Amino acid sequence: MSQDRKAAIEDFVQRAHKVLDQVSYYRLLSIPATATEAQVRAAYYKLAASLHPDVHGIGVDPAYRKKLTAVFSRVAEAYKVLADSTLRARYDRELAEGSVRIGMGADIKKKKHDISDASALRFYKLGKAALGDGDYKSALMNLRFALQKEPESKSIKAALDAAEKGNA
Amino acid sequence: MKRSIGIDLGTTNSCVATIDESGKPSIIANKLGESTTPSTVSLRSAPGSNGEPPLVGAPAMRRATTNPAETLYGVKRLIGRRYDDRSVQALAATLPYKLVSAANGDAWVEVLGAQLSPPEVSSMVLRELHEIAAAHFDDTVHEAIITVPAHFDNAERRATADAAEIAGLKVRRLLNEPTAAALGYGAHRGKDQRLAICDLGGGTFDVSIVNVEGGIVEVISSQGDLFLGGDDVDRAIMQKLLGELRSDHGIDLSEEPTALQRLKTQVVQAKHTLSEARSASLELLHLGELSSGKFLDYRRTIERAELNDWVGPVLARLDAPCKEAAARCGLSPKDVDAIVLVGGMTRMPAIQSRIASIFGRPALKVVNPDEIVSIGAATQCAILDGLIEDVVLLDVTSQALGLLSEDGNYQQVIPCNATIPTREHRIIATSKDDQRELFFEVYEGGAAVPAANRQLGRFVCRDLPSAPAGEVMLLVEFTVDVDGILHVATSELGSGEQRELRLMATAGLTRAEIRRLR
Repeated sequence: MSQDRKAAIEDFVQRAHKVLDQVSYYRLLSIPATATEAQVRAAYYKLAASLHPDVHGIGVDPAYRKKLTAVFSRVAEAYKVLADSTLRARYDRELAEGSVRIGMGADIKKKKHDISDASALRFYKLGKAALGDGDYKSALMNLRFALQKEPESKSIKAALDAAEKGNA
Repeated sequence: MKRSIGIDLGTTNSCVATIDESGKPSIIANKLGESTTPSTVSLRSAPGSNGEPPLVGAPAMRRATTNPAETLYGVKRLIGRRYDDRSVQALAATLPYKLVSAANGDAWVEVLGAQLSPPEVSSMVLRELHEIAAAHFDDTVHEAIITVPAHFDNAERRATADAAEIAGLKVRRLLNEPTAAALGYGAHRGKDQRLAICDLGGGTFDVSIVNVEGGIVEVISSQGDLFLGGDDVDRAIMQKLLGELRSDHGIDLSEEPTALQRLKTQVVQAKHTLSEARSASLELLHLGELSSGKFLDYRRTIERAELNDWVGPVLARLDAPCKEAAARCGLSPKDVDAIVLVGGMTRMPAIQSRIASIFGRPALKVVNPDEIVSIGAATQCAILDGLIEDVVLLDVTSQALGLLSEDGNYQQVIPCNATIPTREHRIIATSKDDQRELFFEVYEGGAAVPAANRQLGRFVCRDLPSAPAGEVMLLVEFTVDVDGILHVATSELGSGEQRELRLMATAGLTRAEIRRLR
């Protein structure tokens, strides 16, 4: 593989990893919302041919490999959802409500949070996701927004505490 | 030069292949000049007693008649399984060797008074293949890619990797058999198309729909019947003939292991003959004692049409997995562009025509259906070494994986059929004030409740900081690597303290046991 192509893939992985929980499946695959199933597959295959660890993951450092795997698996998830008409219809509905990942809304509900305000919930989800990725700066920002919208929420306060500890 | 091999570790037969400098794959023949080696091991002394070493392959098969209790075959059906598994119990009744429950509940075998784990038995087959390859190269084998059935779960994959380690092989990758078959058939070199790979071996039937497009080989769905294979054909013939012996000659062989084994050997031969010829003959002198006190010299000619009639119920079971595999990716069987047949049993004409009628087209001609899986595994070596460029395999997880947290909340973390490698996390939190320990459990299986799934392990995180309920949070990360094996890691949110966790063995061999056996 040429140095240029390697650098280009690395750049994509680093950028995509930062915004993984903020971009839609469409943006991740760089396709319009009107893309046909064949276009979805073609976009996925093109990315997979670059991102698959068998091609690009040999001899890279473990921290980068983790990011690469996270990006690759989200790209694969985007394809699985968008190439299936039933899942895609459900995803489009959830996306309109602000969820960039399928099923994430349902997951958070199961976790028994105490948030009722929709935009607080959205920032809370983004904050939790950033927390999961160890991106404490982004977690702090999103959780503080969430707390502004719903200052009494214990769930937001607890998550914010964790983010503050991580950032310290 | 780096010496890499691809191994098809089969239920009945195994096969080893390699690649040359240009990445072209070829089969390595065994000491007898045969391309496949029976996955049979016969022990001549108790394991670990430093007596005569075990026999492997054809010489072991020959001892099946004289020493049935010491001759182990079909161990792949036991690897990574629990003794009280329904399928293991059903199998135990039909096997001439003894199954026992290990201390941790795994199914083991007992031979010559000693207990052996299935990975140890498989390691003997792998060691033989390793030696065949080393003799061929006149050099050390550096690494191997070993194929496993697509439906193999985490425990079965781990147990296979353990077997290789005991045999002194460095495993580069565990590769799914249908994916290997697609490569072995040369799908990556051909035109863009959608293939159905139908693999009927000794014990299982697997159907995979594989999409090939511009160098990408993607398994889009896999379905199987775990209890359908050549053994069922053998059993159907045996039952018919044993019934005839009872009704025509008054002979009951069901309690005569040696006679049964002799009959079985000829039945299997006849089955093979009938794939080429219209009829096959059995001849067994002194098979059993007649009421007159004389011994029966048994002669029987089987016509192909008769055989097809007997195995009708077996053939009928081919339909469901084919239809289901196509339906899972929104297709009808007729939408598939080509059919590839894999596994020795697909040589049987009745099986070929049944599969052709399901998909509405005849299967492609494959010269050696028992070799293409190992050829595919060797091809994957060439891809990973960069000898074949611009080919990428996209494989999927075989089982869903889920997390049960302390509060009883069960959530799926990685779905079935997710493309690997895949990485996903969940966050769990303490539920009481000043809680210093937090546990969670990991399960495998698609059910919504953990009790209906299989537990892979239980983790306890200790020495957590003192804090009010809900404030200590753990990030639990699941990674399923390119060979389909799960790794779990946790870290404390906030402190960022990492805790790498090995999936604790609630089953399988421990690291110490593997080292001892090497």
